[in-house]
Amino acid sequence: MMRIDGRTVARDLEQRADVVVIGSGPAGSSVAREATRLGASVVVLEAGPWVDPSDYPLSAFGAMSKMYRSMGASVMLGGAPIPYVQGRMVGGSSPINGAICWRLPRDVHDEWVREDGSLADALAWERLEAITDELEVRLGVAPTDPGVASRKNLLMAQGAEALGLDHRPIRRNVRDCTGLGRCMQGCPKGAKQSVDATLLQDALRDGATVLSSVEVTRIECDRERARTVVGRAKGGGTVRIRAEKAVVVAASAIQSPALLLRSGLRHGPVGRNLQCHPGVSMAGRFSEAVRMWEGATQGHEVTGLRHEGLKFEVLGFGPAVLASRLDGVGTRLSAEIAELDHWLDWGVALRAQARGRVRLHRGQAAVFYRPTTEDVRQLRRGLRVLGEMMLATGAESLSPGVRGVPERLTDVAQLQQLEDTGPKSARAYTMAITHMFGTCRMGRDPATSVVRPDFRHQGVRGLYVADSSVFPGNIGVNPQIPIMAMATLCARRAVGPD
Amino acid sequence: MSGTWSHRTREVLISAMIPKPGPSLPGLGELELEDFWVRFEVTAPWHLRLALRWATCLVGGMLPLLLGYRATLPKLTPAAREEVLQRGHRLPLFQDLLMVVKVVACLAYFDADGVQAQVRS
Repeated sequence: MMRIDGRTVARDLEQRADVVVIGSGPAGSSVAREATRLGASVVVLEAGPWVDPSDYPLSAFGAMSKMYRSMGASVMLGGAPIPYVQGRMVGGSSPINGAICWRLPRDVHDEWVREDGSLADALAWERLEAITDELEVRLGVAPTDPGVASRKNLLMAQGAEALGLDHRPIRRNVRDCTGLGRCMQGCPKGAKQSVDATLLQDALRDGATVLSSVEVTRIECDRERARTVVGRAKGGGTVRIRAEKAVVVAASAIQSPALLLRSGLRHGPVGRNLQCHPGVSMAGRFSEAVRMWEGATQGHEVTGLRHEGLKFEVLGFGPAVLASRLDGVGTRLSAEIAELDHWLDWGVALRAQARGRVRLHRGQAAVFYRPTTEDVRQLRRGLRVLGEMMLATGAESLSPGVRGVPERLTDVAQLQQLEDTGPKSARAYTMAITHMFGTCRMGRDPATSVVRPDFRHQGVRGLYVADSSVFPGNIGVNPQIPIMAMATLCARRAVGPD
Repeated sequence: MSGTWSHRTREVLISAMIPKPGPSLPGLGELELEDFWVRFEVTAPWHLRLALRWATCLVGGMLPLLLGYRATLPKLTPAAREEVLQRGHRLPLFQDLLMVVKVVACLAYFDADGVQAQVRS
């Protein structure tokens, strides 16, 4: 077991391993765990630092500046700058996500196989299910404990009942959660079973080495085979890790294609086909205190419109993010802050149709994405449903966060008007993007895919991609468990005979 | 735009965004923000720092003049600053800039231990 902090690596460092894994999020940690289980020597490189739960900050600014990439203010450019969120620490986004767990939906898997028959065997459903079963046990995945559900989650259940929509407590990867409501700043009690605390620990126990605070700059190839991963340690030293068997890229659907492009590996549609879940939220003011920051961060979801690409979730921001979401400036904002405990914010995530692109600008990822007109129409529909649920549970007024629409809505007719005649441009909406896919998509055809169905790069031997960038399409649900399951499969292929 | 002017204007602008919310909570202008700004300059991405600089220059410098005042934001009374913000919030370009200021102001405000404790209590 070895942890090396790149902040202390001032001189050049060279190592060898069977498998070099780039990224320590859900994908990278899963690859490391499975590869070490199979007897391979593994080195994991992570751009961010190790952050111990006892050092997780209470304030949103503290957490964002310490644990989020670009302080959580990365933006996709296109019709409107839309923020997207990624973690930048050991564990990737896992320590700062909402702990929501979904299995890969069968209908999504069927779609993938319909589009490319070669995936039926490569991603055999029964194999993915067996891996998922094992992961769920390891991560303690279970429905939200009613004891920590809190008002915001119970209200969503009431709202969904009133509208006749299917809903359920969210299945979360936590143990002994006490409902601190701090999942997105990292759980200071270590209740969240994030991959840094689980899968990566398994890999470390089985002999993996984790080098944190090392930014990978390129992958070097020799005769169309990936050989060496080169990075820059925060302490100033150059890190070179030679891969005897495989280099596995697991740096996210944004950073992975950027790394391939930076390494001159431009084969196929690398960086194209970016798909994601744009989301909007509806804030509601209640006459009684509802204290959004208390209880399970995200403990309830409405699944009744998933077939339309809409999934509704309770959101669990701390006071800073909630306040910035509310209307007004100056004295109006102060008045809202004085009664912040009366506000809730619920979100809808869309399985969007739009496709974007990751390009390289001065060596860094530049992301371009523009929701389609239909996507925006669906988001308006999502806002209407959120608003109706809130009104059904007794919200006094609603703040849709949409320009060109009254700042406060109070009845269903106004919500219907928002859906029917609301702004057509994405620019009008307070939107954020999570869950990105498809930028190194998997497939049989080298012209339309970056990796083969066995996760190996179409043009370079010994090079694999394991994260959600290989997903053929958008899955419409929270992807951390499907990412881990797919990455586990990837590790088996990478460690097996080439 | 000198560093002194921009820093002073930034302080005034941020403070005007969250005046005292009530008897139990301080206004943002009452908080010590030096440590916040040091960390912000180190950790915020370049585009956010740039956006805040533009907002400082355009909302703090240009907007009061466009609205008919004869001085920039730091030299206005608190009531006039409030009016500048409210009127700017209805103008498309300034609405975007004020959103940037609001996000940074909220991050700064709730970064203060006392404010967090009071709100969560």
